[in-house]
Amino acid sequence: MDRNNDILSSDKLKSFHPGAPEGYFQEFRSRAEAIPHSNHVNAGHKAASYAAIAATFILMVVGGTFFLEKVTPDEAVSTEVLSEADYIIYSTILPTMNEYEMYEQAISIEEIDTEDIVAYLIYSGESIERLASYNEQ
Amino acid sequence: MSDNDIRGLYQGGFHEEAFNQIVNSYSERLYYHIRRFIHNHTDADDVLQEIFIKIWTALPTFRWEAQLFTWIYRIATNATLNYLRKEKFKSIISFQDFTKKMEERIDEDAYFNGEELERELHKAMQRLPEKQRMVFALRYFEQMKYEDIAQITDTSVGALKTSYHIAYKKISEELKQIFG
Repeated sequence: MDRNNDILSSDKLKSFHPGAPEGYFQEFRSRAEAIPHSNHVNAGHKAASYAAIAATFILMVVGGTFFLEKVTPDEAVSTEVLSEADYIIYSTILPTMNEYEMYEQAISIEEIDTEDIVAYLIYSGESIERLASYNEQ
Repeated sequence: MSDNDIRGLYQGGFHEEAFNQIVNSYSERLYYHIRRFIHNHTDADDVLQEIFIKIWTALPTFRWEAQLFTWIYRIATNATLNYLRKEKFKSIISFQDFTKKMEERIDEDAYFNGEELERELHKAMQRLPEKQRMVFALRYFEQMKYEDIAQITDTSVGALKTSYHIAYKKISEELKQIFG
């Protein structure tokens, strides 16, 4: 940096600081010297505020639990007992067969006969000759 | 009283006396240091008081093998940066330009006893990024060693040198443009 052309190299500028009101530092020192004493009180206050926060938390938990117990209906927490009407509704919804019975029913479907085949061929658009040949068979 | 004497007092069990000596030795320097960033006497006074409360509270945890003055400046620097962040946030929510607001503070500062050059220097500093401004102030005004600034700002010496050089050049050019 060119020192001759450098405004910032001025010592006056380097040692400059903004001013303060007259007597401020004297007043501040006496105020700051009281910090150790006020801080003892603050420590007590701090402990008291922590205790207050803890007490509030406990109160909220206890109160909240009590409130929920009061508000929640007993039926909601107890095991529900089904009435006769409920059984009727459920029986229409739920399958009445077990898996084995369902399988038995599925394989016991009657065997397909010629009529079924003819009906299928008519439905699927097969020729009359083919239908006749089926009838002959 | 030197930092070593203060250490002797504290380790001898004279905690309050040691603290009072810290107040005597550092209150004026710290006030000027933070005032260069805050630009307002009332707020600087509040921050300064907050700094000494922190010093008193943290003094029992201070390891005396470290340098007392870098530790104190670290507390002061952090408190100042916190203050500036809060002020910046206030400016954002009130749709104000923070840099402009701080420059206005410099103009309106009733205790600013400098001339136009000093005022423009502080305004130019205000336009620097926060950390660069801090490095510039600690090096230029406080004449601190880079090693000490590194401890205060948690930055490497190399990065500090670069930062200071850039800040110095920027400010120097701005002032040259104004004052020729």
